[in-house]
Amino acid sequence: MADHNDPNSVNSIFSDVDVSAADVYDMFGFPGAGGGEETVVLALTFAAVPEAGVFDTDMLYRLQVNPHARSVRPSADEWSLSALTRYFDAMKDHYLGQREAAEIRVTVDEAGMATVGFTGFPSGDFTERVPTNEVTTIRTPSGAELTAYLGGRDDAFFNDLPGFFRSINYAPQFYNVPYAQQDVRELPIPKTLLELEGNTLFNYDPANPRHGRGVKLDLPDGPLTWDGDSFAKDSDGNYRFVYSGEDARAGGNCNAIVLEVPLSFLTPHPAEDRVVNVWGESWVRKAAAKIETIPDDPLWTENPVGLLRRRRLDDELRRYKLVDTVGQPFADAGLSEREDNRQLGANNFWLAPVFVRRLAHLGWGFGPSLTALGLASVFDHDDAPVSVHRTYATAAAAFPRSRKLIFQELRMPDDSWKRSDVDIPLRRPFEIFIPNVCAIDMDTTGTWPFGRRLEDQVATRFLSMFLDMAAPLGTAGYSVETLNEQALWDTAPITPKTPPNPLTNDTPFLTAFPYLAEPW
Amino acid sequence: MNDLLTTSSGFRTDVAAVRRARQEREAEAAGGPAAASELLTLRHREVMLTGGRPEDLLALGGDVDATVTRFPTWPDLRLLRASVALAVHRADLAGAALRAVPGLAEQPPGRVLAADIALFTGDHPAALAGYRRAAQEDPLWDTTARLAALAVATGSWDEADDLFAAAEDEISAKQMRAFAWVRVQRADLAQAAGDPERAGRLLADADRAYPDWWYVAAHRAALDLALERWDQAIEGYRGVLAEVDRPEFREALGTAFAGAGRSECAAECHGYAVSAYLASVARGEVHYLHHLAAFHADVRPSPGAALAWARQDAELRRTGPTLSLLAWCLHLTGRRDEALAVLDEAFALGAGDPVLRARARRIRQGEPS
Repeated sequence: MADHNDPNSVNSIFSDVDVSAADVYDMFGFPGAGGGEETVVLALTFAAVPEAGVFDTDMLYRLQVNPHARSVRPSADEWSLSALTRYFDAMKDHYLGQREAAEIRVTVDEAGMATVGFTGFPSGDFTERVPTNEVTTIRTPSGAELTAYLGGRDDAFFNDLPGFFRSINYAPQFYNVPYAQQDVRELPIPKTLLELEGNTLFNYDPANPRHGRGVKLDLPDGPLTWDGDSFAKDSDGNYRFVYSGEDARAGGNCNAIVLEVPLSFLTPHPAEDRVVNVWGESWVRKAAAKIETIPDDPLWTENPVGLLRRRRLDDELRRYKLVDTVGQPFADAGLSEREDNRQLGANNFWLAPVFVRRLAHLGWGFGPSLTALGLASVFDHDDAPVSVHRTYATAAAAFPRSRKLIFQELRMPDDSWKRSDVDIPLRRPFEIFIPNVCAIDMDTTGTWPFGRRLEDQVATRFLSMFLDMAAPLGTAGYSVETLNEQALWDTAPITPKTPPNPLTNDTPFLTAFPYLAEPW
Repeated sequence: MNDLLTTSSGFRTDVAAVRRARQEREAEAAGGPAAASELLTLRHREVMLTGGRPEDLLALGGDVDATVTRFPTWPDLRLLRASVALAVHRADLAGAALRAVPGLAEQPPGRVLAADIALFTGDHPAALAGYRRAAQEDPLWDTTARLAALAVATGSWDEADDLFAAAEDEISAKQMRAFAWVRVQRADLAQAAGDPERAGRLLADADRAYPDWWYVAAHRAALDLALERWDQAIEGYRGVLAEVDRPEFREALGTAFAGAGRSECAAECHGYAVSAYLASVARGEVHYLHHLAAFHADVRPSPGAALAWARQDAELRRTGPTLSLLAWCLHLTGRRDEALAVLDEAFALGAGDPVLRARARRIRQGEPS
């Protein structure tokens, strides 16, 4: 669930919300493999509604693209909240200032013909009509060729979604939560990777093994809390993993917009602009645009700010309403808590304090779980013997706890992610999630967090943020792949002995465009 | 219900879909509170979609009560009970249902319903506070539309239309019924503000957006009636009654017949309507009291009877609508000073709806009763 089921308006976990074409799933982006001109692969996936290969004609999808040089960031000895704030301010000026992102906009008509508009790219604006469910070539005004596929595919996401929800005690995945109880989402029970002794609400139940995996119970009357003081252990002394390693999206489809474009089409300075930021959005047509109506602009008196924002939109976009955004996996589900009003895409700078608080909250949960397994946690949890449910009212209060987590470099398992001799700094959580974009480094393979390749197990890499990357571990040390290694789990005191999430997709990816597998 | 992105393609399709869903749930016969609540919610949706007839709502309320006895702590059942009770003017039952589950009125859906009750009972400040807080916590088009309705009730009509427009702006192409509903509210407002042509255009928008909906047709017929387009009104109400047989529509058809000079048809329709109103009151129901008062005030004048019914209605709730009707009935019986005092009471509440304003103008001008 890189971005599956968020925001809440498209969260079909709730019984009263249907699966929607507005639910954008994932934004993939990585350098093309080609031996000739340097290219970038961009793939936006979203719910296959009405069905795989058939697009909802009331929807508009946007891919916004912003190539630039690598950004300057705080140095290692500036691990302060003010340094972080200065960085975010600089990035905000960059994103909200003089540079507008170029965009690729897609709508599809009843006949299955897509209109693909390109705006703001160096070669000028143009629009092409292309058929869906076919690989097509789009020729730009300057003569460049883009490869495009718009249609149904296998959902490229592979993940133990119920395991993640078990880890955060997310009630709607396990229970029929009353509509009237909107505060019953993540229950006030410690986040954890290991089951908590006595957490009967969420622990695996052998008598009802599919609970949370399609089976929901009515929310019980009793207290929706936990008052235990230890992790659960079986008779062999093993912890029970909240994850199963099962692929919850196995056999599932998506609709997708896949493009492979020359870097020189995106920027006139491909030698300098080595990072391509991209993020996706879904917009749904407004009711008033569905029929011809009386034009008026009453927002002017009621909501002038809203009107000014709306007037910045072009005529077409004004007829649509933004629903969902996707840039980084887990930026919304893990950090923004799926709030509808946090669907900000790249402009998510005001969420920075929220992220600081949220990471500290998650750290109190996941940190002790990792420590119990004998792994080094980057989060300072005061040697808590069991996960703790703690929230923070301010970023300033949370920052001392989450500082190291926010600033640590996420180590890669080896150097295979580099495609050149360029000195590329390892990425840190704060620059991964703000702005909420998929930042493709063209001098890398584009593996997460230097972009996102289809085969990346990003859900588990997200969890690796809570490991102490500077701590020793065997000969190789910790990396974003540590938790994906079966050998680690084979020796861990845990059952089942599996990485949290599946290591590969349910069906192999293709080696050639459009890379995503055929739909089921 | 979050229906931002739920596909819909018209009234008849929606009725069929809700009916099918309800029948499927009935066949499943699941025993828990969530399933029971979902089934009753589908029934409520079906009832409202097919006419919102009080007798159907009262029957549904009884079934909700029976289910509440099995699952007293399931908040959705209480929320549904409150909603159904308010639809038949039982603010007392609605409030009791909300209070039955601690904290229910502190969640956005409960907060909105509590504000609905406040608006219904004339407590405009509480309604405003409730809607605003709910809008902050969970911004939804229908909360904005409720703020608009409150603005209508308190006389801020321009603000009301702006708010309705803002609500519309949040409605997607998957919610065409919601869009049509808002257009109808705007049409009513335009008509009340003396712009029937705009009202007509807005109703035409609503009809295009969500074809075949009796609710739009009823408002179109009401506009025709107000403009004394008798034949169109007769045709319109006949079409509505073929879909939804409610006594107030029969009364309106009778008035259209009367305007067209067809007194026998008018008498038949009016007689049927009044009988239905009286039967309802005899059963102890209160939702037709104001219809009886208005009927005897303006349709078949009988000022004494009108005043008696208006007093009963105002005893239940003293709001802009009930007080304006009481004032009008007092005026019709020649009790001008009392009428003016009741008007003062209504305005002191902050009321300012179009009907109150119109009646106040006529009363103050001393228009002959």
